[in-house]
Amino acid sequence: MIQASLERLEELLAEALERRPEDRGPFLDSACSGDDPALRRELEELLGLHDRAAEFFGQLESDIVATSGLELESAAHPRMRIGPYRTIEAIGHGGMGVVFRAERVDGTYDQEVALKLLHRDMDTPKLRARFLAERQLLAGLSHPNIARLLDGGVTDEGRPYFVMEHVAGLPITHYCRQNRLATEQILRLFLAVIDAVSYLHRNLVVHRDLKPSNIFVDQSGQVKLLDFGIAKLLADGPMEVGVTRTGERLMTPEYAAPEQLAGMPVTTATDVYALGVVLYELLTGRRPGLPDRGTTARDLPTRPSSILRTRRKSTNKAPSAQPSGGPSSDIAWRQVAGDLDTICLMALRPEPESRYPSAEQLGQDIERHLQGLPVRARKSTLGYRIGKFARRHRRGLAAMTGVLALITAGFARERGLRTEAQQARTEAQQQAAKALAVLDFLSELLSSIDPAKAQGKEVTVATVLDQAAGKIAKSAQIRDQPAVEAAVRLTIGKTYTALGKYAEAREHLERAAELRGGVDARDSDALAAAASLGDLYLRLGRYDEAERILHRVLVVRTEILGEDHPLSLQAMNQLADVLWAAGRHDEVEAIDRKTLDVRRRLLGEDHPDTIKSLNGLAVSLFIRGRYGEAATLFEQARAFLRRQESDSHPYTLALSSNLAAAYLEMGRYREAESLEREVIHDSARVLGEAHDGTALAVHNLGVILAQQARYTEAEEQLRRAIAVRERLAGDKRGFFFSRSYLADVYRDWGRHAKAEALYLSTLKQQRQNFGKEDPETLKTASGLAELRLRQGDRRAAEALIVQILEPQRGVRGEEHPDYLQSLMTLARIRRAQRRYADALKLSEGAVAAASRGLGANHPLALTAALEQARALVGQQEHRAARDLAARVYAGRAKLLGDQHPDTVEARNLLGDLERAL
Amino acid sequence: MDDVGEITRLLARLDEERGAGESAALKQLMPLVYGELKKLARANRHRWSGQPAPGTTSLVHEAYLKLAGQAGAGIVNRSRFFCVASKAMRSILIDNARWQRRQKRGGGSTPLELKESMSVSAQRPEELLALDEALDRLDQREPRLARIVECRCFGGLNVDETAEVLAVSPATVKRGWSLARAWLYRELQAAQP
Repeated sequence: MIQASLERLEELLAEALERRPEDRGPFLDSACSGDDPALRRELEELLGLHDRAAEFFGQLESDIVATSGLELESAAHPRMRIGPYRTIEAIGHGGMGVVFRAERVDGTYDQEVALKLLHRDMDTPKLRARFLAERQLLAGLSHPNIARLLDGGVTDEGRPYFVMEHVAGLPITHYCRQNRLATEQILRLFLAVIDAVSYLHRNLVVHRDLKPSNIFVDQSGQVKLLDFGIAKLLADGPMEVGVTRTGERLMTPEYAAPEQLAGMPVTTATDVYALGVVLYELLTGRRPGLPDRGTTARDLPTRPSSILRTRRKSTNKAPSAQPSGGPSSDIAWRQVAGDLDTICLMALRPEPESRYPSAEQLGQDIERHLQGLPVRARKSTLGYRIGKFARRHRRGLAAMTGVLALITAGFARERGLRTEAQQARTEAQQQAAKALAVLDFLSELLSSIDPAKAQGKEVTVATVLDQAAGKIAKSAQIRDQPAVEAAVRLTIGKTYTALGKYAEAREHLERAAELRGGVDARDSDALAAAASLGDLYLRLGRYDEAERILHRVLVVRTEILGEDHPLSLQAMNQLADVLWAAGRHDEVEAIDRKTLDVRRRLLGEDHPDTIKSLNGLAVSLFIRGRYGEAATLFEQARAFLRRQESDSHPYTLALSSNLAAAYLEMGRYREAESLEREVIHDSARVLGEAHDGTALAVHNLGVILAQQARYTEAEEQLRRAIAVRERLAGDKRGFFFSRSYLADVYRDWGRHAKAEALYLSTLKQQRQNFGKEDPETLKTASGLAELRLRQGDRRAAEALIVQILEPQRGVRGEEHPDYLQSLMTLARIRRAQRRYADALKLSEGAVAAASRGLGANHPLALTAALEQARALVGQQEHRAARDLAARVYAGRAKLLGDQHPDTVEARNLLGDLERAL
Repeated sequence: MDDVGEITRLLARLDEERGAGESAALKQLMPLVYGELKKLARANRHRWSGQPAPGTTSLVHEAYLKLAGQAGAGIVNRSRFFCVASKAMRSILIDNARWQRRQKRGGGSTPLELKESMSVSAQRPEELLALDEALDRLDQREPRLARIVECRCFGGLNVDETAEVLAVSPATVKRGWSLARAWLYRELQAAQP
């Protein structure tokens, strides 16, 4: 027989399979009319074989795949004797034990029972306690839809077991499919599940592992809840914590709520989430959280009705093409659209507080739906979606370091605040000058010192100051008047502070405060002295003292002047700086918001200071990885500014640039790119192409492109930025920074030779110009180390990274992204050397530092956690690795969407682990 | 250099070379991956005591994890590896089926160490061997379809994973899989006595 082209066969076969069996003949008639009749015959033959072939391969596949340990355990122990029971076969395995079908040897109970036996190698004190806790917990429960506890004991070997009623039936999903239940019947059945779960919740028990294989329907159609292996008594005290954590590691990720994956506290809403997943699966045949390929990331799963509708469109696919576990095909999307969509999605909300608070409320809504009453879930949906917007995405760490340049060059957090501090300083200086006519010359001299302008003349200024300081001690005139001395010392101390001569500054400021009656005095001069001293302590890193002093200044000023007074605000902002430096970012945010609020009230929405405040708050949110919120604020600030200034005003450009950075971090590449291109265009027009601001925007465009793996275009833009930056006057930091980033791009692009050449020449020049321990030099070196690793040269990578780590920690601090990157490179090296314990320690450290500094769900923290998971794999701790990968996946999916490469990376690792387990 | 290192190196070479260099690298790679999978399966068998032992799917994934773990993140070409591993798994299972057949006929040399954890159920060696031959014929006519079968059937990859490995859309995989199944099934029917 002459066989037709397989390609043509494939195409026609697929098309035919999409049609209903009775339509296939006519389809073949028309499709094959021009072809050889042999083609048509072969097609018909293959179509006829399709179902049997699918069945054959399905069987073969499961034969190949399904060799599981379960079979081995039961094969190893056929008909074991356990207490008065004899096992018949193994029927399941939970996290801690094997479940057997068993019967009583003595025949006193003629029903078959389910016997759960603790795994031999899981017989650790902790798991044993957990196992017994389950038994205890079951003993206290009595509900028709919960499998009853019948007996319990210990085997001859000492392994504990317990005996439950045996449920001969099917998982709820299979049951519904097999019996082709209609929507209403499914919902009625599901209400029985909810009834059982509500009973648990009323008894302060959270099941935590609800999934179809734990929800059986027996032959009489009765729902039975099984497996309380990781259930938790809400009333449990902290003593239970260790055990609980073990439990969390054992849950099933597909049905686990985000907070469970993240290891956060579990409530009844956690079970509501799992119930939501089960309901979703019952209605659609698949679990949520697997968006269709090609759709954009969503904050909530696809509506169940959309899935049914899409499926209906491609009707009559071959049974094998249906997703496994598919529902009865009788479910019409119209029945599900509306209420049931809303109910499902409300149960599935990522934040526990916006779900149904307990199973009971979920059940009530389903009841209402069945009775045709309006459901409660509906109301809040719109508001929810809007409110949700701000919290959606964030981004991986590679971008962060590249983009930070933008932020510092835009507006520093403290820009608005600095102005105030300077004003206050000038005020104080004026006051001193007024009050102290004798020291006119000195005051004038000192107040003329603007640290920014004093560069290069520092020695002279310092000399004058030193002379002035010397005079105070000798001047009888001053010594007799403490107020005068205090004012002079305050002025001198502040100036020393501004010049960075902290030791000298401290002497004068402490004395000034002392002369004013100590830091606890309440008059305005005393407060001014205290505030300056607080500022100095901040710079000295003595955060506790700084905080104590500034907090008191704030309290007193608020009492006396009111909270809206500029001096109160100034104190508040100084306090914010201390808290920020001490890593207490949450409190800073509260203060930023307060400042913004006051300015809005006093100055109006669109006052330049208010806009600066908005930007300041946004920058601090950005730095903490809360890109969505930052973007919203940047957008607001930009909108207000554009009412007053043109789009090409430098401040507007900077805001646009910041906004583009936020979009980039959120993975909204298209918006980031078009905005950045606008900025470049305007900036080139207003400032010129050869301007640092323009070059910076071009650099950032390069970053945006590189993040999308559009390397050729990224290279072009970075080269353009480099060309401009090379010609600019100054220390050429930007020039080297761009070159270093371009080397990163070549590295990630796989152009190792180019990357190497660029790293080496840049590193050499950075070392010459800024020294070996300059932060940017270190960053380049760190990038080179990662390249060495990828080139397979572990030894060189290690030698380099070991040199970098300490100095980098010194100049950047333990929580800085640059340092964390280097830590992770070292962790990867250790992993490549199979020194998994070391890799694990390093990555754990990185996770801890990133979580401390940036929050546990910051992209960088997630990247570190993924590295930790890989180290755990090396340690053969697949379960722990799986749970960690699940957490990272959940985190990234939430922040970046499901299609983002970082999310895919985590999902792949998770998938590999799932299947390896 | 150890096997894992060598596998990593060869996989990298696959990415860079085309044509003769590529197939030379593949030729060297196959026995190494084969050996690595067998080693893992053996280790799993000995490690087994209450934990589920893995089937072929998880072996492939576990082998990948091990490889990636030692090579550093993102350095091993995942798709390439899965493709090669699916092939290797095919030959492991086929070798094993041959051994089973010899056992059945009363002949046979030393048993392969993998039989407990990796054999397809004992009554099917004939079927599997016939499938292998049919798959060779399919490979000659349309290698693309043979790759899909290897991934789905022997590598234990699902549709999405197969799509990723072969760099095509899941829809393409589904279509190819439908045809390949029917086609192979027909061949098997024809081969039956």
